[in-house]
Amino acid sequence: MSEKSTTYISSGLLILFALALWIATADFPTQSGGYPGPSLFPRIISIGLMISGLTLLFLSRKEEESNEPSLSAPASWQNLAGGIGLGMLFPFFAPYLGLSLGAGIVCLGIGLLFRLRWVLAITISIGATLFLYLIFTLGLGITV
Amino acid sequence: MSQLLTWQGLLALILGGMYGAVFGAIPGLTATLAVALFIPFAFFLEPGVALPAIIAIASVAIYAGDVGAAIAKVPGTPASAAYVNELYRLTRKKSPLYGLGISAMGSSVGGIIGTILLILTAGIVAGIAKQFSSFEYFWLAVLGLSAGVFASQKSPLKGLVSLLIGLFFATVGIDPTLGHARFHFGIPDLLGGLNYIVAMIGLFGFSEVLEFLYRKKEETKAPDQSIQKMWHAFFLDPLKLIGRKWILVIRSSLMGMVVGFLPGAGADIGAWVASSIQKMRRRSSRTMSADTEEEVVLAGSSSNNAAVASAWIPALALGLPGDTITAMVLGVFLMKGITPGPLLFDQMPELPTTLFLTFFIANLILLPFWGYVTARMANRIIKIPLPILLSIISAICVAGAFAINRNPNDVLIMVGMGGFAFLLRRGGFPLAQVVLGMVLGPILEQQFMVSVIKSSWDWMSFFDRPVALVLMVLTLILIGVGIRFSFHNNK
Repeated sequence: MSEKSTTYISSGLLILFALALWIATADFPTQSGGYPGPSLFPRIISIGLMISGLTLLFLSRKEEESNEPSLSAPASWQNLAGGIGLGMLFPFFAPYLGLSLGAGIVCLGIGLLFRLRWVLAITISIGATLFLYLIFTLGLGITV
Repeated sequence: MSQLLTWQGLLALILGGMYGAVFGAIPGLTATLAVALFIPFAFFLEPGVALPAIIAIASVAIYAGDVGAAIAKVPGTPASAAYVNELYRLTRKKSPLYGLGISAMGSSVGGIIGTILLILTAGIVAGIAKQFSSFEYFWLAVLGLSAGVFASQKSPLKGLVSLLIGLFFATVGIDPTLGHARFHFGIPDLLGGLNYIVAMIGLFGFSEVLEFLYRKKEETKAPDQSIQKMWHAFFLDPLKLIGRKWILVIRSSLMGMVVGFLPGAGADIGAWVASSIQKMRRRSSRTMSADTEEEVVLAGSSSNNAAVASAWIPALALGLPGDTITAMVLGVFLMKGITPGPLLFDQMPELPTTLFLTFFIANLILLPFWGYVTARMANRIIKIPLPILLSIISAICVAGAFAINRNPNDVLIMVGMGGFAFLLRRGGFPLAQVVLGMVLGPILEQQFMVSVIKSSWDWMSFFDRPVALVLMVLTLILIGVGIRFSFHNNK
């Protein structure tokens, strides 16, 4: 995917988001006398995003195609999804494992996604768990 | 002053500095949190010991917020976010000691300038601050946002988009006029709004982990340095830079001081305005170089520590908090039976003197000392291979996001922000402007709504007051200059 295509997609997403934001504010209450209330700022933001999206779209049509590396360059969507997934799972396993060990598991998982050797990844996660336990649990008394 | 020169006073300063350095350097643990956790201990200490300890904690922790920014692009404070990219690049290109040396020496000099101005102008400035109403705060927020848009190095338009997204995030939760819950999607935790510290950890820290997981980048390793070279890199080279750029340092410190004394504005806006103006100046002169990064870090760091000192002006003179830290300090005052305000200078003349002296000691001795210690640690940490460092950072991001409110859902928000920041990076949108929007958004909306309600929607009232008019003209000049140079650079 070229940079120009990325800009097209970003502009399209911005315009869609701006429209959704405007629609979402439709049922916000107004102040007495018909003056806008909670909807005023989100609507100003929506207009700003709409104009910015259209301007980006207009400007990207003038741009020449560039040969910079883009989304199709060697990359790993699986690794990315793994990283996000590990973070998202933390709130679910933390109540059983605790804050430090839970974060240590995230550390281990990310280390393995980086293709670290098992022994090294486990050693690092044990170190991180101990460090977090000292600072957050013992030092600050923070527990899940 | 006598209490400060006792062994208890000096110990409080040294330990306060160390405590601030540790807190500031760990992502998620901020200067505000450090002071908040110290408050129960302050209850058992004399005011002449407790208050200097708080100054030491805040001064060192605000600087130490740059340590996370230098190592892992995770700014410890919103003020650090203003120059996080420049500091990170500088650290990777040269060394953490040099990058953090500029930050520490800039903070130290800015803090000293701020303290001198605090002593000389506390009374006058407090008088001006009393004149500020919602109209002036509104224009001040607009000025900060405008500076942020044009500080975007690649494209001001993309900077504007990021800023608008940040402003949208700031609208999540209860609105300031009618108390209507906005964009909470039925999740009770979102009623209080999105915490920008949680967002910052995700936007800068976790997104870096995701970026590296997605596409492994080349590592640039800082060269090994001898102790003598370390000393040069941390103290002498940054001081030489300050000597060469003394006008920049004084200008940024003055900006930080002026913004910092406004109740509620604090160090964040000061750092943003100073570093943004420096970026704009460099862009306008078409001389983007290694110097630019050094100047932006110097401008931001000198401005934010000048603001830390001047935030005490409204607290001491008016009893109004300049920022969240001085809000807690006011609590300590009341806890000790001291009423802050103009009478404080007459009733307890030794207390303001003790505080002024503490600012000098904190900025002149504690900040460089603990700064050097943390920078040496950073110098070692940065030599660890990135996959190992990022694995540990991911665990700290998760634990730090949870620790702020002890809420597991904050971790989900942090991860979501990390994923969102990854997409923004793909599209070439800057991240720092998102944080700026989140920090200034609530101030902007609240002050705007208060202004229009109290003037019965009379728009002319925004231009009636002289200070508001000056701020508006400054904003228009900034926008005009920014647009002119954007076109100039694109030709």
